[in-house]
Amino acid sequence: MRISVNWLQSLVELNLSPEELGELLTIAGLEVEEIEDRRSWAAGVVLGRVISREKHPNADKLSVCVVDIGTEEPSTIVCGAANVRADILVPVATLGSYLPKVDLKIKPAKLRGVKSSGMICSLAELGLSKESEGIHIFPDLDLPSGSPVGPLLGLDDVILEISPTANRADALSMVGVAREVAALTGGKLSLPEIKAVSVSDQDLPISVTEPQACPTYVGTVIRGVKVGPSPDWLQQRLLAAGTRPINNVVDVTNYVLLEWGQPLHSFDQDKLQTLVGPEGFALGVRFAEEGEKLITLDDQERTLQPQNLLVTANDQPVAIAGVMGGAATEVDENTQNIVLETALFDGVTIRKSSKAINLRSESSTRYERGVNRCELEVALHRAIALMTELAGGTVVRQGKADQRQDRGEAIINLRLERLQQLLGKVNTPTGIGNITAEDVERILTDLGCGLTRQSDSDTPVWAVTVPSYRQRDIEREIDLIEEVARLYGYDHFCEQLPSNTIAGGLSPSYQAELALREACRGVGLTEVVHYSLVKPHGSEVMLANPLFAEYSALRTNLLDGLITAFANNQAQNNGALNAFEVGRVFWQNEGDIGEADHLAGICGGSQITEGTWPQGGKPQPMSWYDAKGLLEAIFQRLGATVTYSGDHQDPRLHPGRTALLSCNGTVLGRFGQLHPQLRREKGLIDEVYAFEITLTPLYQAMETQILGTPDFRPYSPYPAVARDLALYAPLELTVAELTQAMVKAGGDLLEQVELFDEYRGQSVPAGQRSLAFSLAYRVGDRTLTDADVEPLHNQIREALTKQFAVSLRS
Amino acid sequence: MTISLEADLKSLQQSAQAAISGCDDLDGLDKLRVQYLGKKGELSLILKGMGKLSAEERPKFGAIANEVKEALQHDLESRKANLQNAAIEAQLAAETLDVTMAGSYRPQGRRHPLNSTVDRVLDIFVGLGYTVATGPQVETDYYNFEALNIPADHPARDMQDTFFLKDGRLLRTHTSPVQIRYMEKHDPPIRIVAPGRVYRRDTVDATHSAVFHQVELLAIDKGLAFTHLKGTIQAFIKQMFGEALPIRFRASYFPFTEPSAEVDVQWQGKWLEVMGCGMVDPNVMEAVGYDPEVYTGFAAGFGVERFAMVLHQIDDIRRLYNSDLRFLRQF
Repeated sequence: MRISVNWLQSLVELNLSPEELGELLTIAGLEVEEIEDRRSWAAGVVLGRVISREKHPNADKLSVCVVDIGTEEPSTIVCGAANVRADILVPVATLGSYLPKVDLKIKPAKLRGVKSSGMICSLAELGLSKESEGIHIFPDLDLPSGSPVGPLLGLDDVILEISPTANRADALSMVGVAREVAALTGGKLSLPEIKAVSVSDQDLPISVTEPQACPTYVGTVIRGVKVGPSPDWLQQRLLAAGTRPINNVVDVTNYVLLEWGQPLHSFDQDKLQTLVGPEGFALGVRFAEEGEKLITLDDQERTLQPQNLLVTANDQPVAIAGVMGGAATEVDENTQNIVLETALFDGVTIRKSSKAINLRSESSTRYERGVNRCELEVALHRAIALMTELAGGTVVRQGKADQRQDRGEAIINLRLERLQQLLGKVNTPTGIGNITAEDVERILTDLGCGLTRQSDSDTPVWAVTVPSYRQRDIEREIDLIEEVARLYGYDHFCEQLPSNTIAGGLSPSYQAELALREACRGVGLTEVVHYSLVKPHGSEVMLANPLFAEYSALRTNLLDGLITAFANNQAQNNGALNAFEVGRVFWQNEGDIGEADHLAGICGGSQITEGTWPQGGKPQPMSWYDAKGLLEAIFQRLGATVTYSGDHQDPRLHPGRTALLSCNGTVLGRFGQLHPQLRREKGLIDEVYAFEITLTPLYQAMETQILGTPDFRPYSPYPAVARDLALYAPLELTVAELTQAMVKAGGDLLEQVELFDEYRGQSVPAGQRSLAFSLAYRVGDRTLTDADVEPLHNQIREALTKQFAVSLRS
Repeated sequence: MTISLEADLKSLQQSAQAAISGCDDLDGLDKLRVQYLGKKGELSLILKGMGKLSAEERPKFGAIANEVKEALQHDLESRKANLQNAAIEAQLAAETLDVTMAGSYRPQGRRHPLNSTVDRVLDIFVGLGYTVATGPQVETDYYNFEALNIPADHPARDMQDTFFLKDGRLLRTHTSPVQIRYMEKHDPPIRIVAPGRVYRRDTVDATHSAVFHQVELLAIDKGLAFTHLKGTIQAFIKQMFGEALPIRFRASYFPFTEPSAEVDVQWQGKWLEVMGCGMVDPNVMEAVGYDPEVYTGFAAGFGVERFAMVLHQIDDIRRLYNSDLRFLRQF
């Protein structure tokens, strides 16, 4: 809401600069988002009287004016506006002045050969309208030339744009903000005096069928109004608040809304009558039926939803209740008789109604937050008084449907002890202390509460009555405690750490994640973070209300995002993205939704990326085994034993170059080279490898090694004895199977089996490959001799030839 | 006789010394050693003539022969050392590299600024006695709203526009549901810090993202007051920014805390809104079965993206998710 400081000053005593006021309100929860200092917009702009106007000798569209700006010598000013003429009062930007809204410094100038000293301004040049047709002409001719135009145009004001917190319905009005300022500064309130207007004829028919949605509806008929422009003071206050002046009747309703926070609406009574036909009409409030239509004041035809609450005349829609009136019954310059609506609409109802047709207004914003039930009459009387004063007319009839339940006076008990316990100590002028009973009484009294001490002890308990305009957000003791803290000033509270100490710590799974991330970074993978909302492909968990189709499903895997990121980086010539993400994935699970954390990575490009001159600058493409090695290095660092087996289930991966990863018999995920088809579609380089694994089983496997305290295992001080073993093996026989068989046959003395060569091609029988292993034997208490090793080694050789179709070569 | 043998020795010494000093390889030097000092070498030949000498002459001659032998041995050793040094020198010269040329490597991976920000936050709160807690991202209305004192149709639901799933569940709009889940399973005292991903139905621009991250903080105990909240936030901000920046507590409104505050930090001349916090609302305590007359507590929450962007001076939130290497390599 835009708060004019001038207007506010008429409601409450104020001795602060706009900046100080802004800071005070911000700290108190009425956040000031912007301060608009309008005083600079027309600095140096004065009233000028055009004495004469001649056509410019050298230009058709320019005029040469002699203007009295209150100085001894009148000024000659060249003006391009079509509406300039003699004997008018205009705003003149004098030499040396600066117009900030159009970023213009006024200097002596020569326009087509004629000297010009100053500029006659339009409202646009003063920041008061977006566009102007010609210069501004003041209607009142009796004003002295040379005086500043600021006060005449409302440019002697500062506007604070405030956004109160959602619970503060009361702060969306000038009176509400004035009350807040009074409570914060102790300044005296001077609210407008309201005279009750009693209307004897109470027979305007009103029928509200939805009392829940509309507890109160008052219609007041005023006859014989003279519609015309509002006086300047009113127009300027509306403009300051960001509301466009329309005519005196409409302006009064908008003015009272801004002043008291109570929305009002005026219908043209004769138009209502025309709409319903010859018989008399009754105003009603009901919900819309599907497909009903109404053209609203903004000339939009609205197709109404069942959530829209309507004001009707003989059941015909005439307004969307609390949101916007209808165009057909709008007050215009010919209106003579009006029906003034003052109503309470339920906040939730208006919120739903406004949402259903995506239309918000000053009215709906206030109804949504909750309009004060007790000040409806105040606003009504204020509106009637202003309207009859400015537009004439007589109040002739009224009708009322009022279902307001008397909520009675809300009384809340407040304990000083509880307040002190919850808020803690404060810094006072005399040192650190408590908030005192006197502080509480002063603050709450300033807020408009009534306090009665229930006991006279040192820590009294009060019975507190809350003023009507705050009953919506002050309902409990804690609400009062908050008000005391807020108005005492959060900055005055001490800062201390809790005195009880507790041992903190990372959860085991978080520790595991940290170790995992460290291991991944160690092998050259960079962390990335991707959205979890994706474009759906079929089986994903879907959003019911997505913003865009591209973000309408929850990701089922992390790899797709990494592949896209790899492609993007390649397209940007950034090089190969070697990266990983630890993140959450989601899936449908027999009507339920599952979610779990995954690790996925992507790597590729050159194995060595920095310092490539030893290879003559030629990239050394990362091989499948290089890439697998990165993964193995990660698992080794984490102490997890992972086994690999051939797999071809993931369509994104090369079916002959995919490994299924398992740990303790549980499948972790897959690793492989991207499928050539996918690489072609995405235009990717050949050496792109990727993996995705589920983390829970990995964390379980690594727990003892990394997160616990590893136990020292003694090692043999004696050297190992090495023996080689070379063989021809069928292509489909895996190294894992051979290794397993050797380990089993070799027993405890066989310490390590390592493949050191693979060869296919010439001299190797078709369908086979040559493999060479190095076996290390070692024992803890002596150096092994040939006599120890030979029988074992032979045992292994025999086991291999017995189990597999292999032929030994050594 | 003596005279002629002595002269032989001298001439041997001279020719040998000339040969040694003229030799410039280790093999040649070894050959010279054999030639002059070997069993069948030239010195031995001269010594064989000693038998013809008188008994008085022999010791004198022997002493001279020894001197010659030692002199030659010394010359051989020193020449050998010289040659060895020269060989090393030559090797060093031959092997000298341009040390300014680049080394070859695969660079290590980098931390993502969102991850490193969370890591830093958790470090600080673990130090203050907090334990890490986490929760699901698919939530029920109860945990995301109801139990946090946000009943149906509460306007605060508008503050965090929600993504719903087709089964009526939703994507959590804040990490606050972790508070409820944790409190349901644990008794006070409680101190948890809950990092995680959250979702808002928000149009994406330079400062807004529909998917982002929060860290939530909750402390429940007997005797916790608003001053403890202030002290905790102050300690956290100081650690996070590395210095005691001016901090401003502004009154605010959250349904699940009261009193509530927004915390602003003065950073490079401007007040920056960095987090929301407050004392846990009695209604929230009651929702999990705690007696608000016995226990009090505070909660705070903030956006990780915002902190990361401020700390690293990142201009657009979307950079955090675009995975452009030119961005990622900077952290």
